[in-house]
Amino acid sequence: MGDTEFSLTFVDIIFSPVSYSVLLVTFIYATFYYTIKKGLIPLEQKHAEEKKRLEREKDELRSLFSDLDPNPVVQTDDQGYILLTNQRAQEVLRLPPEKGGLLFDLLPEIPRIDVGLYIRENRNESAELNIFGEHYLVYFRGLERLNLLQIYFNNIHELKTNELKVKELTEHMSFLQEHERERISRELHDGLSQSLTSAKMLAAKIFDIKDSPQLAPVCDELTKELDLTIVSLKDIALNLRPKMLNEFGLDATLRSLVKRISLASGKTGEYQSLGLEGRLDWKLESTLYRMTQELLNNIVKHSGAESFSVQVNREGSRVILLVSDSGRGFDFKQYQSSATLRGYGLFNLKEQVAFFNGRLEVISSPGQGTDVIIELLEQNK
Amino acid sequence: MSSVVSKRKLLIVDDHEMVRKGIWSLIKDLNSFSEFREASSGAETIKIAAEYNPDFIFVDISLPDILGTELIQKLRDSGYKGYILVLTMHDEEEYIYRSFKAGASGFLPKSSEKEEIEKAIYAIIGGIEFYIRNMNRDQVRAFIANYDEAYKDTLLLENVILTNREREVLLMLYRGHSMEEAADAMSLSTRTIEVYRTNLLAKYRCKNMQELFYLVRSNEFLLRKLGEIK
Repeated sequence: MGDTEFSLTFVDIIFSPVSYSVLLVTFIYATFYYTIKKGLIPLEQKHAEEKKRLEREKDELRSLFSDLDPNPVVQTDDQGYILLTNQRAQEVLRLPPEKGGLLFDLLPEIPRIDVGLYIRENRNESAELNIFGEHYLVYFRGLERLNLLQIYFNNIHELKTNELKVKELTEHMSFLQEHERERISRELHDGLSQSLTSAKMLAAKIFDIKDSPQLAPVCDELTKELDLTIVSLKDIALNLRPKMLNEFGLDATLRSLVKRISLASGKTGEYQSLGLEGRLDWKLESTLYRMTQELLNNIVKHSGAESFSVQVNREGSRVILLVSDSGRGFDFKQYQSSATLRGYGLFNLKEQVAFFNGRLEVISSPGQGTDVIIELLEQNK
Repeated sequence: MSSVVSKRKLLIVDDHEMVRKGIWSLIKDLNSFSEFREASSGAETIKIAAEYNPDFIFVDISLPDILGTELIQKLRDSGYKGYILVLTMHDEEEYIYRSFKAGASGFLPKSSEKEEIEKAIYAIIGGIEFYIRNMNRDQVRAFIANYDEAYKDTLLLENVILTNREREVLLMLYRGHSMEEAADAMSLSTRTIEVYRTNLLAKYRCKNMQELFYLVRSNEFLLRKLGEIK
């Protein structure tokens, strides 16, 4: 076929427009590659290295701080595996210094919480735990951003022991107080008032052998005066601590108290008991008597009630006291927040009830009267 | 008259010597007793009572080793048949009732005048069931019956006082509501409703609610009290 006009020489190809574009593209690629290789990639690496360094620093800083923390501090990952323990945690919680152990295996006293959930929700909770015989207030702090759970152990053992000591001391104090009252009451009643009674008998004797008309009115006056003194002395003794409480027990004493207050106040008082035939613990009898006395005083002073009732039920080791009145009542919620709480003596009542791990309930509303229910537990049972 | 009683022997029981002597000096002119002996404790009383066999014993409630009422019980248990007059500083009714229950013949406060003691002695010798100052036979009987009732809890249905909330709880339960429903309606806890329920059963001497419901159903007075009938 001969030469064709379509045959292309090498030169032709080199200088053809297609080649120009290929070259251009190649050049652009090369430039691009070079830029990335020399610029962006090292920057990324540099960035990653910097990040690592910062994280390490942060970890170090954190561990530095937790080492400074006088209390044990532990960090775990979202599965509960230990990431870090400070010096103190290794000492008192006997945790290994290296990371990796499962916290719940190493300290079985800690409840198995959902660590992942704590971290995701940045949850913050605390619990009182007993670890190796010491009381700790343990704070769990989930940190979502750092993806870890930080646990602080706050030793409250001394606090707890002191609290217990204070409770024991208060108990002892009230015991002493009650005993002292009993002693004074006994001395007034048995000692002083007996002497007065015999003095009165002697006065009556003089009255008998009187032969002087001037002596008669004096003797009369003397006997009356002595009578009044004896009565007021007995009242004091009774208010300090009724002898009846020791001699006949709570049932008789409450019955007598209701009768006495009923007579003195002119209100109709009702008393009823169930299962109180035997004697209760000395402390419980004193407490229940004092509480009833307090509540009845409140009723007389504040309730405006026409009638009231006292009921005591003993069921097993539970003793339930219900003091009820038909008076004006009050809004208990409002009353609770008001400053009158102390004045009305309910505050003391609350403390005493707490002492016996009991329950106090006040049920009242305006115009509906007030019921106070107190439930105490016999301690020796 | 006085010659009949003048041979009587008296034992005075009190832990205060002053009081024992005081009582004797007060009553020796009454010619009721020819002689007396003293005891300062329960143990001593039992011993002396057995050998001296007094016609009358004056006894205090507060003694160092035993309660006066327990001592009376012991004396009666040991077969002592004489008269026992409680002479004490106490004057609460509870002491009077318990003295009677223990087997005493009368009760006087120590502050009593000579004439009152004399009156008591004659009333007791005269055969009164139990002597209480300023009370006649009928009043004494009523007083004791009243206390017997309170202690035996044989109260009349009509006398049972219900508090507002007790009535409300009884009504709700009687109408067939559960304790939980009653608690909800009264905005109280179920536990509190339980306390009221226990009290209701105790007041009406019922073993369970079925028994109490039966009592309510069959008693017009109760139904009226609860407002179930007019």
